[in-house]
Amino acid sequence: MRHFLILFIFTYSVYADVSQKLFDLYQKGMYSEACNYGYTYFARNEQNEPFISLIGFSCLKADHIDRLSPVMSALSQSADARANSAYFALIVMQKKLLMQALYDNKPIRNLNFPTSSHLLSKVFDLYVKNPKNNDIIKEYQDPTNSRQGFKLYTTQVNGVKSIAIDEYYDKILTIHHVY
Amino acid sequence: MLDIKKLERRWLKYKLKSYAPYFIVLIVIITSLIGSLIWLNTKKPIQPPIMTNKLNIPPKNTTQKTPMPLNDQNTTVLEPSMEFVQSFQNTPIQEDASKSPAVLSKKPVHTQSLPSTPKTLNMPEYTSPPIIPTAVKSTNRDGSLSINRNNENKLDINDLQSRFKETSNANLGLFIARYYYDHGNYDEAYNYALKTNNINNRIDESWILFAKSLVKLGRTDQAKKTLQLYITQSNSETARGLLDAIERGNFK
Repeated sequence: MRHFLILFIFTYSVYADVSQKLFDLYQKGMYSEACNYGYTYFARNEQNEPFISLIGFSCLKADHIDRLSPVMSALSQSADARANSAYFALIVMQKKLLMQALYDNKPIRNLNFPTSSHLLSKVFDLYVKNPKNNDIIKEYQDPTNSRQGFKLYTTQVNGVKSIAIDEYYDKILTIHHVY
Repeated sequence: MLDIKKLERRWLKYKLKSYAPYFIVLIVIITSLIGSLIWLNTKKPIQPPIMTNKLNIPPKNTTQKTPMPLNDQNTTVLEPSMEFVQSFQNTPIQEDASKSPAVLSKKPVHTQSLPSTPKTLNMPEYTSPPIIPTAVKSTNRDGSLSINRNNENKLDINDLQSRFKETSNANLGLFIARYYYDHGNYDEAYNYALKTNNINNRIDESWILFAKSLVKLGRTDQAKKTLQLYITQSNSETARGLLDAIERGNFK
């Protein structure tokens, strides 16, 4: 009994430590580290939806969109988790559609798709409205802020085909995203 | 002599022949029943192949047939739910949240937040950096939970600052200087304009921001001297205009 109690306390403290460390990494803005760290403990915490959600948001902030697939599959039990799962699924879907459109010229005009406040959704909406098929680099302006602009184009990082979105403010590059 | 075996065979044949019509009718009825049952059951599954064939036709047709409104107000907007953050929170939040006018903080935020991690989660959604609500807004907010948009924006400008440190891009420096000037943080605006001038001393706007920040910091004489020096070097009309405005007292 005593051994069992010690084992329980040890396990609980390790679990709490892992969750807290993930949270701390996120709070410090170390999203990529949080995403990687969370992934190493993913299988052990698959039933822990807050933990999985936080991994998802860490990966999202680190622009690791492809890592959201197992995350969204693991979120289903609570309303909170389902909302996040749908949110992640939307972003993954939009990325995949954009990739197919940009690489394979698959037309994705006139889609009635949900949207979100994420940058990918914003650019996706702009692309669906106006794909600019003749432009290799597609330039868009934020309809809500004329000083804000985006550039959408294909890129390859270490041989992996990806899409890039550059954020511009007053035509100055502010953030470069690779998805 | 009667051949009984032969007679029995003939009798059997006769009997079988007499029952044959009944058997045939029975078999026809059974097969028709089974056939109709199978047909009814398989009626629905037969449709999917027809449907898939239709779908396999180039998608242009399907999209053209149903023109849908594009991202109208009717479009569903999916928002993440951050309630799960509460499970990570062990300490009260209110104090930390009320301390977060961090947009105007001078020192890097990461080092400040390390000892007492604020228990508010940065909203992981896109917000454009310059439309940041000012620090006043953030101080007025009740520090209830979870979604701290100010904090998010603060991190965005920190990202830019760290990128500026890495790349020493003059345009980025100018952007940060402009950002701080627009948000009333003239110290930081001055610092970044100065850094930008050191990287590239031919950017008009950077000198203008530098001088404007000096004026806002109450160092008008230094601003005038700087502008005079810059005008002699560049003959900039904008700088001259600003110098005139400062001398007339139009710009304070």
